[in-house]
Amino acid sequence: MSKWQDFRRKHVLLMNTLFTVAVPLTVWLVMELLDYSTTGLHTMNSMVDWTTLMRNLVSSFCFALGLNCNMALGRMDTSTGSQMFLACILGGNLALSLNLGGVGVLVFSMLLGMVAGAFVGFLFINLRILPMVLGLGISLVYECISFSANNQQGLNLFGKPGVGILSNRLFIIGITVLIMLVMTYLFQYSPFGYKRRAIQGNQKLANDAGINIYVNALLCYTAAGALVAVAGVFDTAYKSNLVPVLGMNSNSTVFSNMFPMAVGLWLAKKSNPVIGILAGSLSVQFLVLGLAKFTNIGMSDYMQTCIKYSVWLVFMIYRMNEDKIQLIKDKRARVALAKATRAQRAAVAA
Amino acid sequence: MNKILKRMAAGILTGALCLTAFAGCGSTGSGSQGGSSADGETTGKKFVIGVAEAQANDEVTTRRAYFENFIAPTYNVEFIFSEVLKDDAAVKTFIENCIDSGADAIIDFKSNSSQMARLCEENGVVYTVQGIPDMAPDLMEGEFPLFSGWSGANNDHLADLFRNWLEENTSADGSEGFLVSTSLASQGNVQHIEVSRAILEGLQEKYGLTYEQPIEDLVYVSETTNVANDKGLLITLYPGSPNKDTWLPGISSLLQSGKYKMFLSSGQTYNQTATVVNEVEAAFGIDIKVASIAAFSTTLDTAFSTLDPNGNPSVDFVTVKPSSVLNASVFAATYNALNGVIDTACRDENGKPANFRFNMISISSPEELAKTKGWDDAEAGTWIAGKEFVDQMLVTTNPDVTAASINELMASVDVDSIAEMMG
Repeated sequence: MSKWQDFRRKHVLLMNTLFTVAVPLTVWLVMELLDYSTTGLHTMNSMVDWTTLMRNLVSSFCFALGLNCNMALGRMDTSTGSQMFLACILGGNLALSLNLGGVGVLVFSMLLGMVAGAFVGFLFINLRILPMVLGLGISLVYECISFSANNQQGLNLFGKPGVGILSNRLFIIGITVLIMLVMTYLFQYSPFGYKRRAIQGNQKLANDAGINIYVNALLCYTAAGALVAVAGVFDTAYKSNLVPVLGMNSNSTVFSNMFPMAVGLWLAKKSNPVIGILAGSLSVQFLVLGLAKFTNIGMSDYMQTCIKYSVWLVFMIYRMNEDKIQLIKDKRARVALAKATRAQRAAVAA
Repeated sequence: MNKILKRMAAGILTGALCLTAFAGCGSTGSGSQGGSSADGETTGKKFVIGVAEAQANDEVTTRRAYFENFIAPTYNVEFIFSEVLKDDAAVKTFIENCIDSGADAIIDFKSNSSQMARLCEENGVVYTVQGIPDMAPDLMEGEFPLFSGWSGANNDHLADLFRNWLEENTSADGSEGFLVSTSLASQGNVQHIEVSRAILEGLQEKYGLTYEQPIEDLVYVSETTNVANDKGLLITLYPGSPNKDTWLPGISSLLQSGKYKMFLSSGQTYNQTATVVNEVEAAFGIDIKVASIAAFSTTLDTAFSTLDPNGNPSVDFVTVKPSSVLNASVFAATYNALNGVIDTACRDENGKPANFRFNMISISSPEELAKTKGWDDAEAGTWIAGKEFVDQMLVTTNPDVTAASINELMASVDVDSIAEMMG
């Protein structure tokens, strides 16, 4: 065993931390180099960028985490985008009408998100329709409700009293840490989390072992609804308003957040899903902010979107072929070992 | 039990799915359905008019209220409203659905296209669009007897509004830098094209600029573009949709460069960019003036009553579409065509489809906004283009109406005349 391998074996925690941090750091470094060399601007150019990063990070993190609640168990819930619209528009406007400010908007949206998510979960466990198909149907219904609510005006947070807190950096950090703690406990240490992981391993065995897989699914959908609602509130704080959509357009939010989720789950192999998804979201946000700097040299937002999703495509190609790469590495290691053994034997024989 | 529940839920979901699919085709009432009525009959029958929409914002909400709550009961018509139509294919589908539902006419706020006109023509349906003829030469030159014409903003007047505001609020040498959001002009959005053009014309006239490229080409750019001009002024065109994740960070990035003190938007984006503009102003200690398109709404009230870090309203100047005037003109063109006077009330002096123009209203302070309180108020039902105004445009109430007389009436609408009309 080489010294490096020995070091890695002895410092597993350090190596895992480095692996988790390395990806966002590398993305930032690459974007920084590209931005500075082409536009003369830094990726994080001012405090405005930091605020934008934090707000978009918590939004992207929560949404990706919400998707992961069900996705890891083989349920792709395509209605999460519409749950976000419904929860934020109904809950947010209710909180604003009660003059509860940003915190009220956040809490009420979360509650509505939980109800919206729980309803989808209730339908799923009773109907057993394919989650994706159920999600598409529910998307259309939820979109229509949120479109017709509040006279088609959606949720407008700009200029509303008390919502400035949603752009406060300390508040954002506090909410992010709180969500991390709660979700880590829920996923990793709570009875719900143990059962969820058992179901993730093998649903039938979990069921045979006495785990109520239906209750677990209902809780997963509820948690997902709450998380996407939080994501929606911070997204609205950035964009000032949330305009309702129709025709399954809410799905674009779902698919755009699959990128940080996919990166996050890949990173999670050396940490846990919560930290992994946070690091994945951070990587994607560095990419988006870095690409935004290219606007200064004439790159359109269409091209930026194209690059962003091309990176995702490349990442997915790598993910799909990761085992083949590992296979080649293992083969090389075996060959090297065989050669070394043969040489050793030859030396002994000589 | 489970099976019953399953069946019930499946039935409900299927029903909901069907309802959702037709959600955009809701109508105002059950009224009688008729065939094509572009044959000149004035039998007092209820006409059915399809309205194709491109957006879902304040303006559309106001329009819907105007058509549903005022026009429909007053003039015995029925409307079928679309959902947000993303492209021409969606418009075509909507029109076909309307025709199947017995629509007599289509008012198109999305396309400005001979393809749609032809589709309506083949089905004997009157076709009216919001837009300008320049954007649809084939529609202008083609033979479309049931095409009743265009209604759109008076571009010259709009350019005047921007120019006058720029005159008072910009430096003499234009050194502050102008960021112009062309929004969806590159994708053919008629309103964004018109306003982008008006902004560029306003800047051109204010500073006596000569652009290296024609304005007609500039408004269609799909990349962030610095407009090359003989005075070397920094004018940057920023196209794109606010719905894209990368649009707002792009605006933020450009504003953070500190090169722009003027942000002029061709779309109704002042609300979406407000947070970003405020944050840049606060972080860099600069004052960015914002000019945009708007509609009378609580959003606009909030924008003028919310102060930026420099103590100014978060929006400095808006041009507001007197929504009901535009809607009255498209309705009048459609209604007159349905009542058989398309050749007189919907054709210009050359016999071509008429080009109805309305004037935008400018607002640059909370005080000016306060004066407009109650104008086109959907909740109160107080419309600039009320019954007396609309009656002057319809053949049923004014048999001598012509395209020229409608245009004269529209041209007479300004802040003072509206104030007088609204009492």
